[in-house]
Amino acid sequence: MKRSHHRHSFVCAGALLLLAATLARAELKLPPMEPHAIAQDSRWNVRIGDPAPDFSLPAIDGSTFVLSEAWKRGPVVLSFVPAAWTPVCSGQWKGYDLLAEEFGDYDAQIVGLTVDNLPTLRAWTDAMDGIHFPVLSDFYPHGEVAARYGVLRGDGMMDRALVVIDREGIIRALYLSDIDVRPPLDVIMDALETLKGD
Amino acid sequence: MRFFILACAFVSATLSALSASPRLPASFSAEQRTQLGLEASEQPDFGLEELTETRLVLVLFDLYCPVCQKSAENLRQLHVALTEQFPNTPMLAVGSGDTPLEAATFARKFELAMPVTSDRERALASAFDASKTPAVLLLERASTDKPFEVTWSREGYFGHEHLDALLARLGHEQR
Repeated sequence: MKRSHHRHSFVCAGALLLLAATLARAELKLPPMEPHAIAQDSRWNVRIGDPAPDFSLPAIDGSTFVLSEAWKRGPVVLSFVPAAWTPVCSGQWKGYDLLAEEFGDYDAQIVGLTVDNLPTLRAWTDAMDGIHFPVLSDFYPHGEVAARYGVLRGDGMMDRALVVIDREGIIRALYLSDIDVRPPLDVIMDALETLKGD
Repeated sequence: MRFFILACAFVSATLSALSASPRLPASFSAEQRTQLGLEASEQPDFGLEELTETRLVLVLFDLYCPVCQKSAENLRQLHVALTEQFPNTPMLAVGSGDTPLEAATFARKFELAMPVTSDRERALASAFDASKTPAVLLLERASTDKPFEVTWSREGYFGHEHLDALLARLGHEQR
């Protein structure tokens, strides 16, 4: 009899816990679990304190961007993003576009990179009413720069990552984000504030 | 029986936690605390249930949302209009998905003078079923011991016509 009573209590408790979990999920309106790309698929090939691998890539304005020339003008923030025309990437760069003055306070240059080709990047940034910072195409050889830094994913896109480089060309901050999550602005501003104090 | 009581206690605690609004950082100026009725609180965070008014205009924005950037001037004008015409209806702007730095940066860029805070986990958007930014929500409650309910909302671009519609709604209620 006692054993049966315990079994009954277990069943009741289980049912109530299930109910609580269902209510909590309904109330919080969690997004549905969908299969999507692997959150992070990269392994850095560089470390903080390393010289930044130099590169030159075509920019959407027709120029060629040379990293080692850029860092002489001030700190450089490389923003690797997965793909053009995607919502998180569009929001991230449109946010940085708004912050030209803030980055300018540190003489810093934000530089955007994807593996998309130039016409795609031009169409995308035009659709966003323009982007003030250099947008570079790492299209061919496919993702070569991303691979050198270690942020080229197995699916051929870039991971969502930030690299902060000082005026001497030394890597001072690295941040690898979930592909679906914007990196906090704090990562960039904290790094630039540290560089300002050096 | 012991298991049954424990399970009931768990369910009760869960439901109670869900009925309270999320805690948000309360890094406001003294004037902004007064606007929200939080001047007596010294806590570093707050929940909407602690506000002393029965009506609140809640704005959910995101620094990285281009439509929010385009709507920012009208949000600024809405705050000016509320301050002049409906001083008992405070306005609270929340950077939904933003860090405190990101929310503060948006406010500074667009000269928003209303109290601004951040909700990194988008808990308020979830609680009020707001799926887009910007979202402008008129929240009302019968008395301060009742939870706020959404009585008017606009999600997406917030234009002059939406500003006028909200002010008309508030004016109609005041009459």
